[in-house]
Amino acid sequence: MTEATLTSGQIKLESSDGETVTVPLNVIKLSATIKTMIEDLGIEEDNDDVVPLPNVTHVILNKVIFWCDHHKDDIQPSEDDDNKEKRVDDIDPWDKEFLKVDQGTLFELIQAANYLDIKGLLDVTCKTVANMIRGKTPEEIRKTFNIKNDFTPEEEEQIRKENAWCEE
Amino acid sequence: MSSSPFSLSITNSTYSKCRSPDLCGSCPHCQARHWLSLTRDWLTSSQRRAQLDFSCWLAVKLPQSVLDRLLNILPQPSPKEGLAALFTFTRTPPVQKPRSKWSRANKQQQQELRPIEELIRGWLEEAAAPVLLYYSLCILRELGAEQVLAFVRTARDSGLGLLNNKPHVKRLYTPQLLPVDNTACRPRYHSQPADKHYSHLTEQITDAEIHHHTHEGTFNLFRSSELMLEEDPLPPLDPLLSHLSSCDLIRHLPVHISKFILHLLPPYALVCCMLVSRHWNQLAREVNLEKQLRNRIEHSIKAHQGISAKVCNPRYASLVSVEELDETIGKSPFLLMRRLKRSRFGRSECLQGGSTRVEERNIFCGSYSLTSFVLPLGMLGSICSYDNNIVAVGGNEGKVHLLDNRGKLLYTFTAHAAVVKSILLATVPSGSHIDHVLVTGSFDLTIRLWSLRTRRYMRIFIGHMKSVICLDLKEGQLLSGSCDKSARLWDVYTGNCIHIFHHSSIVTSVRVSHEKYVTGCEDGVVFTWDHRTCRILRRLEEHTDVITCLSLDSMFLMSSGRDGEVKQWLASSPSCRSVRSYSHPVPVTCHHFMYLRLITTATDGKIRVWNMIDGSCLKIIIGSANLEPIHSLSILNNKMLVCSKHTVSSFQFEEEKWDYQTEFAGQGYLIKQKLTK
Repeated sequence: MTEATLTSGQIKLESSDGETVTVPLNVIKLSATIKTMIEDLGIEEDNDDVVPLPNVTHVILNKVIFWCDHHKDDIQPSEDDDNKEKRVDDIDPWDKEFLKVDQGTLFELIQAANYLDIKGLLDVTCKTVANMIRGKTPEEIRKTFNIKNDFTPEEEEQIRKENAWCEE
Repeated sequence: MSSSPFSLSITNSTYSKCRSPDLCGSCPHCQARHWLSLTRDWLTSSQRRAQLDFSCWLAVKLPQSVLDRLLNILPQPSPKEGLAALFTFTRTPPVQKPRSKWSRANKQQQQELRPIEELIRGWLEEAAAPVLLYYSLCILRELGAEQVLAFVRTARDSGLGLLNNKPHVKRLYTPQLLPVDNTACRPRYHSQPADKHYSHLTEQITDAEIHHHTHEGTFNLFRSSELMLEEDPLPPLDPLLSHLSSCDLIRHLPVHISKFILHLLPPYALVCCMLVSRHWNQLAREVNLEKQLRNRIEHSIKAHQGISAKVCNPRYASLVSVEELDETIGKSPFLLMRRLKRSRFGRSECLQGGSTRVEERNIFCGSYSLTSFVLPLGMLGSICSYDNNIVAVGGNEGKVHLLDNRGKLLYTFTAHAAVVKSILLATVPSGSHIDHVLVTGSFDLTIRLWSLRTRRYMRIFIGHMKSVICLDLKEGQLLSGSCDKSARLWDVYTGNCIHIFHHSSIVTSVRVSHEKYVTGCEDGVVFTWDHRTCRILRRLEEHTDVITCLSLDSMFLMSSGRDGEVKQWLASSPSCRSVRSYSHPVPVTCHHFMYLRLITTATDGKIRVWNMIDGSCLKIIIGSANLEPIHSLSILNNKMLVCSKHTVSSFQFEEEKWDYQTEFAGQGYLIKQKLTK
């Protein structure tokens, strides 16, 4: 696998519902999973091999590719950034617009980002979820995520008591 | 294969060589060689994760006698490594592997891993200990640092019986939970067989790690979410659900992603998450503890390294209610102390009785302009005092130089016949006006008082039998400490000695306040004395080295020592135990506290600003060129002056508009968010 093929080549991806998408390699290289796979297996440029992605639907796959296309020229954050304090409010406006989707799609995007190991997309989607949680009361969170309260009143009281230091 | 950083030498034991000239193929050595080459082949073609798993598996399989030998040789993982491993979010590749041909690399790994284990297992059980030792050493040499570390951890924990019996899980778990055996303890979210039966070991180890490195019972980190999930099976995700507008994301995402999301949240939001549901509670709790632990470690590392801690808001200010310390509280000091120790807010929250509002400010955290000048030759920087834009610096031959804050020499007093040991600039009210005075104590046993206005000698205090090394003056009362193991109280207006406080060792620091006198000794003991009766009130014995500085207000007494500790005591409680201790890596030379912030200077040339509410270090400022020890610190309004042996630096901080609305003081979790029901 040469550097040239990585920048110019294309690869075919097959989503779980059978759709095939052709993606330039320099776009999909953001996915560490596919990048490693290409490097390990050395797929030839004129190969008709199709890479199946059994748990990504074509809707989500298209979205992921769209995201990758926009971010393909971004500077890769170094490993050290992992240790830094993460900020939640620094989402790129383009990403914000991109992630104005329903929770189901967001959920699938996170799973796809995790599966394809796209660090940037995973970060930004997780931040979006964090923003959905932030600043809400427990009841509001339950409503947002459609969660049933499975605490008994005593348990709830207990937790409140334990965390009383947070209350004024 | 990267070479291992650990060099292991294998001696020429009988087992390491085949006796016959052309390898016989049946002796232990030849067998070991055979398995070695097999394993090596596999290792070179395998990936990091598989290697990790293999090293863990090997550690479990090897007999104890071999492990003991190995553990003696191998480096032990330091706590830092363990915790670093704990707090890194590794995005493990999803376990549910695609089954098609393009994933054959992964598939190969999985298929080959099993035979290699199967093959070796039989031999491992039969082989003699020395052969196994040889084999494992060779394998370890092939492995990378990470794998070796994993091996050591597993080996250590299996030696302790942690993996087989899991005592920590048993102990910390409430009995009504399902009994958990090794195989059942796997996150449900992972569709399993890919990681195989020992993958959970690595996760267990992380738990065991925490167990090793946190000794506090309150850090109940072992309530692993996995076990919780075991008890509370995940409802199957309705395929249609994903198209609904809302679903429980945190619940259905893989655990490491859910935790990652929760890690992004501020503390008060985490508490809200705890109240959402059982599942959320469990995850949020774990994340919270991890955060606390991580903060603590990061913070203490930074404070000791002298790197400026996290950015703190220089405009932060708030009114904190602090309970008044009156005589009634003093009656049960023991209980009080216990509660103080347990309270996360130090002292502010837990006391009963009337409370006062105390102002808290992030003073000296903002930007500053630095002026610094080198002292002219012949001036000793080690003793200096600062007041009203004038710096007084002791010189040779009993001289004291007055400088302005730019280093220009204003006047020189020929003060004493011998070396000046202590200098103090102070004010003395005399009649209708206030006199600015200079007080000097000297090796010639005398203390002299000078007027700055007239630049004339005013009074002499005679009585000490050895050199006078510390002075404090307030409201006409002068207290001096001396090498003759006594502190003397003088009347400034008459020059008479009012009282002699006898000590068992040299008095190195003194302080006068409205209500009491405080003295600190060379042997690390701090005494407080009643100002009317001059009787001893308390004897505080927590420092282990010379007391370098004391300070006092109506609530707190602070003492700093050459042992690197600054101890915070309650000023009016009869208890003799400190409330909090601020640890420094080097001796502390001077300190000052105001607005619930403590400023300390140390011999490593750094100025540290501490939060007195949660004991965290907010800011570290390099205070002297070449990190020379700082000898003295003076603070006046928002100006700070530090003096090292050759230089005087003055930090002029910007006037801040204090913002009482901000939530965070910086490091600590001062959470004021109300949880609405």
